[in-house]
Amino acid sequence: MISAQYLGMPLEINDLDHENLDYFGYCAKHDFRLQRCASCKLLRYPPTTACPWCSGPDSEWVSVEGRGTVHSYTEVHHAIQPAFKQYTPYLVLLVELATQSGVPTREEGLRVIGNLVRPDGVLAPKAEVERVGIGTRVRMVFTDVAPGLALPQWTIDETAAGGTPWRYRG
Amino acid sequence: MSRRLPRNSCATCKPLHLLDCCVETDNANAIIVTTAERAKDLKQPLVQIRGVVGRCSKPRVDMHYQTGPISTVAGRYAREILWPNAGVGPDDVDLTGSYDAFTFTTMLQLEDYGFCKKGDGGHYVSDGTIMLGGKRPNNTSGGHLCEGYTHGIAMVIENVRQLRHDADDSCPIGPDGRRQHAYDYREGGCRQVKNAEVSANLGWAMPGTGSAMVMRRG
Ligand SMILES: [Zn+2]
Repeated sequence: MISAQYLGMPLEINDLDHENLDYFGYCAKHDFRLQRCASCKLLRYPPTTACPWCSGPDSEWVSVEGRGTVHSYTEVHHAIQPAFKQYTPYLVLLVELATQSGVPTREEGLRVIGNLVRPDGVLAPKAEVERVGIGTRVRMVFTDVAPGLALPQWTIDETAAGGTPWRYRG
Repeated sequence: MSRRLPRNSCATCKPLHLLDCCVETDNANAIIVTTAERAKDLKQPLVQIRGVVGRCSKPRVDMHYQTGPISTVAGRYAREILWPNAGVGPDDVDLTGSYDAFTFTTMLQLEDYGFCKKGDGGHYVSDGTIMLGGKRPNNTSGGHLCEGYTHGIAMVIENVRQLRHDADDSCPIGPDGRRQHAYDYREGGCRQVKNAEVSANLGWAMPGTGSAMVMRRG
């Protein structure tokens, strides 16, 4: 079992939740891993007991490159958690990994949720938030929360070429 | 609430602004269902349930954002059950009740159930089609955004009233005890959709799951 606090929120992973214990255990070592199905060989996210494509029960954890493109996002201005208020506006990103994009069908991919953070894992300031939209290239960094627990997050991939991202202007 | 209001209200989670979101409401509703045979003898005009689809889901349900375009909602799948079961299509529907927990939920459902082309929802909800007096009014009692968050049930009650031609608006009640509708749709005026025969209710549980119902007068 993992039990910790992150920005005023209790985070808990129960002993029965084997898949998430494994997933966040690797994250704590700053190693991003996903399950690869033993039957159909497809990767999946988030961690699950069975394969969403073929229902196969067996899988192995393989390292995956933490790079991708912002598929969609929401920009939070009204924080529910008091400890998040100092960071508004902050971004919740849905990032499609470069790995397995458009597989098994053209419209599918591994879409990993995380906040936009600075390279050191702290929620990004407004100036960085305003640079990011649909199409921004990002890379994964980890926010250390407690011994044995880190959150996979996203930061702008300054090395990646890219066009102008789409942002809501309202 | 006018179309311009939500965008002028403060941002909560962009692209959503405060007035794009409905308010949680404590309420209770009930729908009494009986056989068509028995309903014929009752005081109120008969409204029949012609087709239902219950809790239809997109592939991967909770993880729907992993599968296909994220703007595709359960209605895309539910419509393939709803319309054949009801024996009608979107063109036959006189009024809709599309779950508006947020402004966008109404729009995505109207697109995915086939009332307009995918991506044209913004035009569909702003070109007058869904207003009283328009081609196919939507959420005539105000919906969740303006009436109260009743998890879709008040929209069913409203459509039953509409199909009975008995919307409880401010029009006068005649000597036969029935409301004399003026079909004057100015603010505070009539709310009755003229000659309403077929309605569709589009319910939203979450983007990946939805339910729907078609009702017909008589
Ligand atoms: Zn598989």
